[in-house]
Amino acid sequence: MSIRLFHRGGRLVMRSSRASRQASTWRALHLRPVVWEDVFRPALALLGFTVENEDGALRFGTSPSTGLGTGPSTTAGMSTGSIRWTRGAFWTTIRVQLPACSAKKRDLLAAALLKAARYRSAVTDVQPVRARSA
Amino acid sequence: MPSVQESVDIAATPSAAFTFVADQPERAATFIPGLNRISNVSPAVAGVGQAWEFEFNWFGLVVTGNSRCTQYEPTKVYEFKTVTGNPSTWTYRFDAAGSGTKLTLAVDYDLPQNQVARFAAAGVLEQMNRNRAREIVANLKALIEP
Repeated sequence: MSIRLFHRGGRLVMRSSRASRQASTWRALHLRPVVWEDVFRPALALLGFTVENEDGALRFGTSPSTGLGTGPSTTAGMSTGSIRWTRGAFWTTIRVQLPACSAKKRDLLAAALLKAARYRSAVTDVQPVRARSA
Repeated sequence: MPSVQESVDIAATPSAAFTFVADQPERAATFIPGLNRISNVSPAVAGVGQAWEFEFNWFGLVVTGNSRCTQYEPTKVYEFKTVTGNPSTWTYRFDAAGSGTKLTLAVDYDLPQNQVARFAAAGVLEQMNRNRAREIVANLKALIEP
């Protein structure tokens, strides 16, 4: 076991605005591009969501994917959520729209997605191009 | 060894509750406050002997270590131990209660003296752990129930 002050490989992700209880905007700072789909898709799958990529955004909350018979995706009357992102040179603006559900579920879902944005490794993160030595 | 125990009634079958808690260790980050990352899960299929690394934010400090599943009885008991650092054992029990499930989380842990000093008293630390256990079972109820 080790004890540190910071997470190894963590990203700096801050909430920058909250338009409503279901919609918020995050700002992520990073030194190299992040494949956000590989960050968010597994996190949503763990909660039982089917995830679809539509025009570069992830849409979720339409049907259960795990067959658990549990979790937010089976909540009756749940609307569709989405995650969109806009890349900058060293930051990404992430817009999160959560499905309609209970306040407790919404808070847990938002916290899980924020943890993923900060700590989940994206296996296919874009590697910086390195000059080959002659 | 101190321990905390919390229970909650969940409107879902023991099978559904067990699957949600035990089939993928990574899911724990969605219902355990402060658990930020689980990685290097091996083997992929859940069962006794499955191991993983965890990163936990323990009241301001990032604690990393390894855990191993020690008991896996579908629909009944799921247990794992932290195998590095402070020893702790986490046991989830799933008992049928009417058409739902009574889920009980018991955590046995050692109190490291340096952390006791940081929080001034063992009682304060134990209360913090009790509150966290209560939060975990409440989160599970919210996530598992339709």
